[in-house]
Amino acid sequence: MPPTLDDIFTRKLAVLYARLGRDAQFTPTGGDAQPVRVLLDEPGSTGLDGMQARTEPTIRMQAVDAPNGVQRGDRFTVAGKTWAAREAGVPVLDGSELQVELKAVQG
Amino acid sequence: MSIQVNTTHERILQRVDQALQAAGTDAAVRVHRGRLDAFGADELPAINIRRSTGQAEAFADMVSRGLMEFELDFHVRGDDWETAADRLHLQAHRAIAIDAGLNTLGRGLRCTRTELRAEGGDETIGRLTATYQVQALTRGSDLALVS
Repeated sequence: MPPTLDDIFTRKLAVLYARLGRDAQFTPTGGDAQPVRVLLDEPGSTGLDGMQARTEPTIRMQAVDAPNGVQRGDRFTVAGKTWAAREAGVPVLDGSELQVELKAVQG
Repeated sequence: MSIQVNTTHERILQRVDQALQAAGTDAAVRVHRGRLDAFGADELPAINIRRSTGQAEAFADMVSRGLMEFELDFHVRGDDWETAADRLHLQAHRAIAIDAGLNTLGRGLRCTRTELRAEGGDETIGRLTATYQVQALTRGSDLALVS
């Protein structure tokens, strides 16, 4: 089937992740690690009435790379650092991407 | 007659600061007075001493009774933040409860309230705020203020 305007975003999304994304390992709880491309964002902010500095890391990934979604506790390893999903992945826009809030894995 | 530079309330806070600095708590010397700037991850655990409400009322004839409050913020991080904040509070409480210098500035030191808050992020950030009260009596004609 020739490409149509309807699927242009889905097709271009793979290109976007290939060019801008980073290699990562996605490990669902109880599952095997699998390679994925992700967009890792680590904006800084403050919490507790501005009294403690923190970062609020999130990962965006293509939903097709996680057919069963991302659940709380699933892990991502990016550049040697391991993160855990703080909560289930949230679909972004048309649902072709997932956004996942992360926390650092301690110890 | 001695002239005090600061009110009793302020002198109590200065003494609390000294006692906590020397107490060897989990916060070590990371004890601050009225800090408004955010704590970075490498500055925790930490204690922030904040002045709170002061009240004065007539007590018998020519005597004023002052009731001074201050708050101790215990800042911690990590998954076990509740336990860490609780331990730090108890360490600090013991330090100021037995401090002889503080006991000469006021009487009836007591913790009247605690409040816990936390938020998520790369690590859980948490804060336990403990409110303390201290009382002091002064002569009604004393030019110094309790608070």
